Amino acid sequence: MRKQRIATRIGKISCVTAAAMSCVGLVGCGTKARDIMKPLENGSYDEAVSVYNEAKLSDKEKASLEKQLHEKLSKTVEDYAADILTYSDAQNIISSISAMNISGLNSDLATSAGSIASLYTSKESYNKGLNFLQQKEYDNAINCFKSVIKDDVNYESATAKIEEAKNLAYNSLKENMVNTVDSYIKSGDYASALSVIEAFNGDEKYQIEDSELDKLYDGYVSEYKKLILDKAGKSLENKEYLTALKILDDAQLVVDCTEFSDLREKIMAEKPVYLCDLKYQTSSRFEVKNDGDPLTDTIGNSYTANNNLYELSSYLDSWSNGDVGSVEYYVGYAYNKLHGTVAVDDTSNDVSGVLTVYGDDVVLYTLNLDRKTVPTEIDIDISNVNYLRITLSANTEGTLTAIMSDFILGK
Amino acid sequence: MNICDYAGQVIRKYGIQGDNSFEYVGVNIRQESQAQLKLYQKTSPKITAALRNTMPYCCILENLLPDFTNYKGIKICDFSRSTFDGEDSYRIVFSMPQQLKVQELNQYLSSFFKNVNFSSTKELLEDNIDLVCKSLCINESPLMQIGLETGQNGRVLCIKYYLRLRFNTVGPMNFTPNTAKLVSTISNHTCDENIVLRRVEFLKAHGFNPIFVGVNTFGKFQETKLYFISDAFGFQTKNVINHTAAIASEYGFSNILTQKEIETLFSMGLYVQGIAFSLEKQSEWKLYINVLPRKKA
Repeated sequence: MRKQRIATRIGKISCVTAAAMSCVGLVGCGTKARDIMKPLENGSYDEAVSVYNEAKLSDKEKASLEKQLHEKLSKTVEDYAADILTYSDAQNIISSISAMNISGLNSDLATSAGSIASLYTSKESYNKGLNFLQQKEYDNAINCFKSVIKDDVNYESATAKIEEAKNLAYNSLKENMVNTVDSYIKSGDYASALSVIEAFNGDEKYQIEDSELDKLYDGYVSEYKKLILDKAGKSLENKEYLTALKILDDAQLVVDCTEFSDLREKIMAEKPVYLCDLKYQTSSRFEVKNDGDPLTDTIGNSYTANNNLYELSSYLDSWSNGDVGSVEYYVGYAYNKLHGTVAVDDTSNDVSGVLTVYGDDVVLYTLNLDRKTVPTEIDIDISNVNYLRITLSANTEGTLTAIMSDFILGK
Repeated sequence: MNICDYAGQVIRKYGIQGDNSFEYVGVNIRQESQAQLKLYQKTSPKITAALRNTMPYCCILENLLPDFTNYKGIKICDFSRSTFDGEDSYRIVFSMPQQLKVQELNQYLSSFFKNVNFSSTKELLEDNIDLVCKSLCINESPLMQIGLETGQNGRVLCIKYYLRLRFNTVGPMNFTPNTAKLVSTISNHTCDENIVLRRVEFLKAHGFNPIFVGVNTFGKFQETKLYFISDAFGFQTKNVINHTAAIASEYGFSNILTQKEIETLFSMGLYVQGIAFSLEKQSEWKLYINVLPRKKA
């Protein structure tokens, strides 16, 4: 593109030269080199070419002119780099000297044209960088300033602008991050807030040292710890051991902290043995509810999925000869009581059925269930029981699902 | 009509917001052809005045099976209009009483076949019942359903019966190479036992357990299907989309039941509860779409 422009310029100059040549006898031959350089210095580029074309230079004069033009080319690049010359003037000078067609200057001309082109791109990048900076497009601004070359008078300024843009970009990112963190903190979601701070990589991206970040993080961590310990402590006071454990276990995933594990140990020492603390050996149509939506019974009571909540389901239809829900635990004669509450899940059909508790295949307890059954507390003697089995079978076609909650094993 | 549109339409009309008669939607899949959809509705277990009004065919049935419906524990489980070989037909299927002893079965079968002139089918059915009992070491009758399909003139077109393979009430049945051999024998050795075993294994891995075998006999011909039921219940149903899609993909009917359609069905509170494949034509499948266990649709 650049070469094309020069060629066009040369083309124009050649036409002008041809016109000038028709005015024979206008230029003398005495101070020929000076006569050629003078219009070139004054910006009369066409005149300089025309004077050169009419002058009949001796070899000595030619050598002198070539030397002066060589210096002029170097000066042109320097002046353009320093913003003393405009791009257009620099181009005109190069084109004029090129039109003189002096073979000894070919290499100089190519180098100078290349330098002017690089400087042009550099200055353009600098100006774009300033625009991006103004528009707060910091990454684009930084990229543009990085394209400014050392020979360009704007180089030092560009280097400073890179730092300025980095700081502005970092502060902008940090401001957004802090706003997000604040909104999480306001909604009590410390886990998300802390993960946003952890994930923030503005300091790495822009290589900026920021001790405030650590302070921010540490501050929220200690607030979070206090909040969790208070919450878990309250659950412990209310003997809601599983809730307290869940609070601590969830929190431990967010912040690894010895205070949490200490409180966990305390709860474990204090809490009774729940059915969910044992491992079941076999099961069918049985689920331990440790997450998901709460269950609702046919009366309208809600049961939170806290691990010590179970669903046992039975199904009977024309396809099935009875799909009995069943779960079996090894209790190893270690407990003497099983206490819990049984209710009918609201998703059950209008079906009747029976929940049976077996100790080593001997029936210990039965409870008839249907949609009218109110939550029923059960207390069963399980002394001398090695394997404890609980089953649910539907007597009529449809699905019957029992909710089993707060099952505790006593010693 | 596509599966989701059809299911959506029938669930609105016959679900709990409608007349609550929805039982399931059957999808018949034949290789490289569109699926045929059929609505199965709950029906009165006995012939009533109301049923006589909606099914004028009742009188033919009463002539054909005068005593059978009076037997203890016999319930109508499917009474519907259908098509057989392009001809309009009536289908009636009865469920047999639970935990019937094999010795008690004879009177039921004699009554059923009294006016139905399919004596060779009766013999074959008795042989198959004997075979199941011996193979699975059970005394309980495996016959869970028996029925027939007639033309509009009352001529019996085919006999249908379903033999239970699962007798334990807790957990899935143990389907062994012997069970595959039994299934193959029931199908008159028209299927490869190894293919049956591989299919059972794949379907079990995707939450479908074998439960019974269904036989349709017409003249000298027989169609046999192996039926599976989903073990999804409660919150476990969250996996049914991927499992069903994997089955559709494995057996080449994912163009008929796409992953997107399975997801749409799920969002409508429906899922594929039952699956059956033909033992004679193994590219033929039947799906049964029902309401998700924890949903009320």
